[in-house]
Amino acid sequence: MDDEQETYKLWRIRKTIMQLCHDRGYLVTQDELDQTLEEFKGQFGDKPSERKPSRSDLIVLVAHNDDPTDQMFVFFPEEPNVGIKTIKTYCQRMQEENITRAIIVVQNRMTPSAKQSLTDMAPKYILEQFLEAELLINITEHMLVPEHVVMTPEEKTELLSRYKLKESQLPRIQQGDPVARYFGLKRGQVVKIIRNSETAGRYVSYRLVV
Amino acid sequence: MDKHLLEAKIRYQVACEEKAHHLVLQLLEPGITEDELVNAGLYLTPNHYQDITEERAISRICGYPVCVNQITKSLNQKYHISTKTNRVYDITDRKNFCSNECYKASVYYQKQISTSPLWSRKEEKPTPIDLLPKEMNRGAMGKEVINQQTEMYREAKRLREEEKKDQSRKEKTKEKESGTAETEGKERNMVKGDMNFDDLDLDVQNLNLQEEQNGEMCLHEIDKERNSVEKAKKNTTRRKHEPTMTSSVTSTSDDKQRDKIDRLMALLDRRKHLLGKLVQDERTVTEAPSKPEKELSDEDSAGECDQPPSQIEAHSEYEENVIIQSKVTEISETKFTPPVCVPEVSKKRKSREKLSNVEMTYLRMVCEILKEWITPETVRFVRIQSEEEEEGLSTTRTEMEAKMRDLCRRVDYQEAALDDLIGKEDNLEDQLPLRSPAPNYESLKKDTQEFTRRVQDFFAAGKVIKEKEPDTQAPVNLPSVDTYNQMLIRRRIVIEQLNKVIPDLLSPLKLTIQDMFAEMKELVMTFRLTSSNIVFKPVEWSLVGVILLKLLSRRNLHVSCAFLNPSAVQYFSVFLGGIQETMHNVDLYVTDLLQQHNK
Repeated sequence: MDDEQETYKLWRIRKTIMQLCHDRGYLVTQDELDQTLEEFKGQFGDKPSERKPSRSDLIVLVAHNDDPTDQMFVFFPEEPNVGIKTIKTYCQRMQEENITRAIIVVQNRMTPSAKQSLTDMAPKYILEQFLEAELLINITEHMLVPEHVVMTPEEKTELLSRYKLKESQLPRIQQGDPVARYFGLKRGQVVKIIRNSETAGRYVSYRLVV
Repeated sequence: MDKHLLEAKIRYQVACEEKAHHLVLQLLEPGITEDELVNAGLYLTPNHYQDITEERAISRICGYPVCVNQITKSLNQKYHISTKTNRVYDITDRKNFCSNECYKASVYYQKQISTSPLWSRKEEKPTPIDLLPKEMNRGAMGKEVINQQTEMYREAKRLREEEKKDQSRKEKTKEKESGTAETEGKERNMVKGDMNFDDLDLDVQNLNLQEEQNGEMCLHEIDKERNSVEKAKKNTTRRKHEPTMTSSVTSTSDDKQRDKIDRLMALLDRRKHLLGKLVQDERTVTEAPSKPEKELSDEDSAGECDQPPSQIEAHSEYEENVIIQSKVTEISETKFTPPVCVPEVSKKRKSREKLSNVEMTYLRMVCEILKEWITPETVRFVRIQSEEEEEGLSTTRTEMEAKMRDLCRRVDYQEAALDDLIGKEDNLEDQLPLRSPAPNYESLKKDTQEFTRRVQDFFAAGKVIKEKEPDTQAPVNLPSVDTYNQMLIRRRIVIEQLNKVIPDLLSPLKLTIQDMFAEMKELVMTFRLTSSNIVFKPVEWSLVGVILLKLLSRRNLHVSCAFLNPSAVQYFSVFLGGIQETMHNVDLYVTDLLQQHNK
């Protein structure tokens, strides 16, 4: 793959990652969101084959809007296939910096045992994995994907009491749903889905993550 | 209680997975002993092991846990093309190992790991796993993707299958021998250790190659055999037809025709051979088979004037008549001829001399069964047709006369009309009623009566109107609704079998299948078939075919003419000679068949 293509790809991925962080409520500057390809090349270089930029240069560290101690890493491993070893090094780094969340952007594939080690660390360290191919476009901008709004715990309890519902009475959405993964939803959270409707103008539905 | 059990079960399953995961983590470290690896195999699935190799490769150590080497070369391509062995290898898996040896050992190990779920292995007896010894190792580059020789192998296999039909079991044993020799050779090869990265050993494909060579060997054998047969054949014919052999000049225009004849003769030969065998089998059962060999040669010399023509003579003479014999014909001919044909035929002839009036000939046996088939309908079908043909001639004559009269009358009318037109134009209209004559009073009366009767019946409403059906009408053959109708199935079987044998019989008659098929089908429709009387051997089926053709010749002049064809006479005399019958006998049997329902 030539440098031109590779650079373009990296720029797209990083852009989507920035949008993702922004949508999750992490602090991302407007400059970073609007970064053009030229600016990207200026900042990181345009020769990925000569490690300009190398993937490790792209690492992102963002802090949450509401709670600056809640930080999240985005790792870009160099190896096409990610194994346990790589995961371990990332874990060490997170421990050192006392960060509990991370996203790993995998080039090719992650070995099954590496995936298992991700889940093993689940309660303490939350690691999510995305493929590069999944991040080339931002799926939430697609015309067929309705607007999803993640509800806070307070909003959720209000919703349940307002409609006199139990949790199990809500419609559901899977944790592995692409949009749920995009927002990094956890089990028990509720997402508000707003669709346009010809008759009602807006049609709002709520889904519980399972 | 149930819940607890279930929980315990699930916990156990999870624990097993956990243990496997731990083992995987352990095996990722360099410096695993062989014992550790063997033990671990009992608690892993092949997928886990695959994972281990991959993980190790990611951390740049050889995927085979026992190996401590680093992976130095990193390959980017997916396939490796070996110019030495003309093969293409898929190296996606191979990339995880330091060498071909490790790859092979790893594959060997992985194949032994049980595929059953981890939690179900408690009850199972663990199957011991062994590792590939170091000196045995010489792995291939990867999975073989393209093998240039597979095409050849396929071709050889196809040819071999074709040949198998004709060749005896002897061939097979030879093949086996060559096969074992091959494997021995391979094993010897395998012992030689070669550590070169690019030198790819083929023992992964051992089996494949071996088979391939078997195929080739088999072909060689067959060729050899065939050559010897040819030689023998040639010799015999040379003795008999020395003058013809000298004139072995061939012109290209003759080639086609000759090919045709060759094919015909070959077919004939084969059939003859089969028939001969049949008869002989029968004989050996009924009679003591011992016969002095001397008689054989005696008969050979005397056979030519005999009523059953000696087969070899007959067909070579025939060839002589039509075309010059050449070596080319010999070769193509022998291809089709079973090598045992010559002795079989003469033996059969010999036995025929001795036992000329055996109680039951094949033809008679077939006829007995066919008798059951024949129904009055068949007889009518055969008879009526021929009568109709005779009638047809006379009817055409009368028809012609009627037409002539009609024509004359019409001309008369026209002339009269013309005269009238010229004479008196006023009377033009008067001529019109002439063209449609007034209906007969009697018939009109009848019609009205019938009509009033029907109206009355209708108003009376009690009676059902009986419409007279014309009795003379032929019964309509409606398609049978029941697809499982026994009769239909039997007919289909018979027609299928006939379709196999009839084309061969038709070629000497110079008839086409299209000519005969419809009539043959009609004829079969008239038969009364039962489950027991439609079972014949293949050779008997061709006899049945001959008899049915003869039956059809009774009704169809075209067919009977075809039987008088010189090639047909030749063919059938040779064909029936094989079972010591003549066309005349067949004719007698056929009349007999038809006679039984005449009374």
